Parts: sequence; C-alpha cells; structure tokens
Amino acid sequence: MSSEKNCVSKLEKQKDCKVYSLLDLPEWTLDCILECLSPLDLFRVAQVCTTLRDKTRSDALWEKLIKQKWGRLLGDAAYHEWQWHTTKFANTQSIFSLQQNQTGSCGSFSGVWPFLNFHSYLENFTDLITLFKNCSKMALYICLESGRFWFPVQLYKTANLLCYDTIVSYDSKRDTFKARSQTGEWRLTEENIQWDRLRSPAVETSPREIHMSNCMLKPGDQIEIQMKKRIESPFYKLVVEFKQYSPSSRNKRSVLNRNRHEEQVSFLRWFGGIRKLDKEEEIEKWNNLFASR
Amino acid sequence: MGERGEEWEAVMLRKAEEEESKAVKKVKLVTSDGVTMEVEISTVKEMETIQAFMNATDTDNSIIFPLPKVSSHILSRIMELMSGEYDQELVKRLSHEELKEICMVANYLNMKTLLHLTASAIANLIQNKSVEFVRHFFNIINDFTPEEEVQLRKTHEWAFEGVDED
Repeated sequence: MSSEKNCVSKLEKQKDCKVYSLLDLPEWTLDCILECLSPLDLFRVAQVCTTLRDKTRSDALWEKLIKQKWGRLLGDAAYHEWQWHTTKFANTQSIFSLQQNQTGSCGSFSGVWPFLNFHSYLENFTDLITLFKNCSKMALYICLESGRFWFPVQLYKTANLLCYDTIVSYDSKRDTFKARSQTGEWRLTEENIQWDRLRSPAVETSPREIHMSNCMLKPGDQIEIQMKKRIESPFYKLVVEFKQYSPSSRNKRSVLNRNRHEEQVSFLRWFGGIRKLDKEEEIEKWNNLFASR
Repeated sequence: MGERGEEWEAVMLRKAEEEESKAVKKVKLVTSDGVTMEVEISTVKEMETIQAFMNATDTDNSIIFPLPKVSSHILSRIMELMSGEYDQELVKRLSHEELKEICMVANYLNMKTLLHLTASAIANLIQNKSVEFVRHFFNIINDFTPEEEVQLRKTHEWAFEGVDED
C-alpha cells in the first residue's frame, strides 16, 4: 500500500495501451449488469451491437421483468393463450395466411371468432413474428406493454359486487386498461380501468365450464360465487349443500335464486359453482368492495 | 497464586505467538506495473482466485502472487473499496475507466461482492443513456447491417414514443 505514490506515474503510461471491451467479461457478469436495467434501457442496449442485442433478449431476463410488472395479473390461462397464438404463428410461416389475418390472430373483433374457446386476442403482431420463436418472453412483454395482447382477467364491478371474465389490453401512457367482453360481442366495454380492479382468473376452469368445488365448507367460511357464460345449460338456482348437516335438517340446503334484477344486469351469466376464499387478502378485497358500495 | 501467575503468563505467551504467526502470514501481490503490495491475509480471503491458490499450496510462509492483469492503481482502489466496506459513495467517485477495470479485476479475482457492486454501478451509469454512449462505454464497434438496424428500431419503436433521446 505504501507504494501507491510511485505507481501513479507508471499507470499513466500504461493506460494508453489498454484495449478491452466489457464484452470480454464472462456471460454471467454481463448478465449481472443487464439484470439491473429497465426494459427501456435493455431496448437501448440492444441497439449497441449484435452480441448485446442477443444477450438482452434472453428469456431469463424478461421472465423476471414480466413477473415484476405482470405477475399479479397473468394467470396460467393467459400464458396458455399466449403460447397458442405464438406457436401457431411461429409454425405457420406462410406469408399468405399472415396477410389474411393482419388485423389480429383471430380475425377482427367485429367479425366472427373462429375459435370460440378462445379468451384472448393478439393484434398488430406481424413485425414481431420472428421474435416469437427465439425470444418469446421479450415478445410477450412487448405485446403486453404495447397493448397488443388482450389477455384474460377478471374485472371487479363494484356496483353489483361482481367479478367477471373479460379480456383486457394495457394502455402504457395512462397506466390503465381497456376491456372487451364476450357478452357484448367483444365490443369495448370499459376504458381507464385501474390495476386494482383486475385480478388473474381465480379458478382454472374456463369461463364456459362449470367450476366444481372440491373443498369442504364449514360455517363461517367465506365463499365467492362463480358466474359462467354457459348458455346451453343455464342454472337458475345455486344450491349449496352442507355435508355436515343431516338430510332432515333445515340447514342442509341453501338455495340462491337468481332474481329479476340480476338477470337484467347480467343476462348472459349463469351460476357456475362456488369457490371457497382462503386468502386473507381476497376476503379483504371483497369486504372493501362491500364497504365502498 | 504463583502457579496461577505462571498459567496466566503461558496464556499470554501463546497469544503473542499466535499474533506473531498471523503477522508473518502476509501476501505480497505483484501488479502488472511491477509494484509489490503487501496485504493482510484477511484481505485475500475475498479474492477467491488467490484463496484457492493458497489453499492448494497450504504454506505458512509469505506468499508472492503475481497479478499480471491488475495495475497498482486499480489494486489500491480495490483496497480502498474493501476497507470502506464497499460504500456506494466511494464507487460513485470512481472514473468510468476505473469502474470498468475494477469490474474486470473483480471478475478475474473472483470477488463476488465487488463484482455485484461494480455491475450495478455500471448498470446505473448506462441507464437512460444514448446508444452511442453505451457503445463507447463498452468499447464496442457497431456491427449491425443497415437492414438489421431498421428492423430493430421498428421492434422497439413503440417503447420510445415520447421519450427523449439524450
């Protein structure tokens, strides 16, 4: 350490002859740097050179960024839908079929939906097709952030204490969402939706199937009623049977009737099963909705 | 009483011996510009590359370790950072060149704490900077074809709407 003084002059001399690039660092050191960057910075760094472009596109980097911002809203269903859209187009390289579908992967919103089991929509994606295969996580981030991917979520409706299935698209400028709902033939149903009014679908059952509850309920349990769009076999009543009561007990069954008012509000929704709430935050969320009504 | 005193003396003697042997165990680091720096053995503990070498040789004598890739200036900067317990403020005072070199050395000597510290400092530095700045900082030549550049700008276009380039 005592030699610090006399080394300064030597250093000056050797500085000039040093040529190195940070690209010489081993991969994980560079990853360390890239991990600290925001998506916007990553896009900028990607424009530096081909090596950095490829490094900034790694799935691991974007998976983390997706979790950070979108983890709360993206359910398994959304991932499946994304996979469906992207593998479909990564595999069909035919320009012809792409041109036909340029407005979106399932035709336009106003037109007929060829895949009725679908609950998502991908628009304006033709310039991203090359990314789907090799950097699908970054492509997903781009499609979410730019509002091109309409993905399935559930939307809280404070007025009638509902939480219904819908697909939303993000508006990054306002940090809010737009929603389309199948009930209105995929018309735009609402805009300027805040983050806290959305949640990822609570049950894995699709919006069209009955959710079979497999949990035992006991008195005091908090439940939520699933509403489904199943026109073919509508349920007008929801009957809850309590296994712990004897068949003769008057507490054995509890019947919820759909009343007229409800039918007017949500004429295409039917009882689709019940779900026990076991997360404290979920119960609190409903309680807050009750209070704010 | 007398016995106890002797015992006490013995303990003290042993302690002194231990300290002496510790003091002897120093590591001499020879930098690329030929400067020899004597450092405590505890300092070297964080330099896993050197530590691994020491574990392998398992000697009680002083060790001379050549560092052909590290200048004395950078090594003394690293010592400062280590004795300052990797204070962020110290890192901020480093020049760009120093920061880059320290990051490379941290990698070469396998110093994990220092590597993370410098990596995040570099990330901070290139935040919100232009492509040209990053290119210069990383010492990289643009190897994109014009077509690739257009393609890339198209992919990212939406993200930069309304963002000022510096």
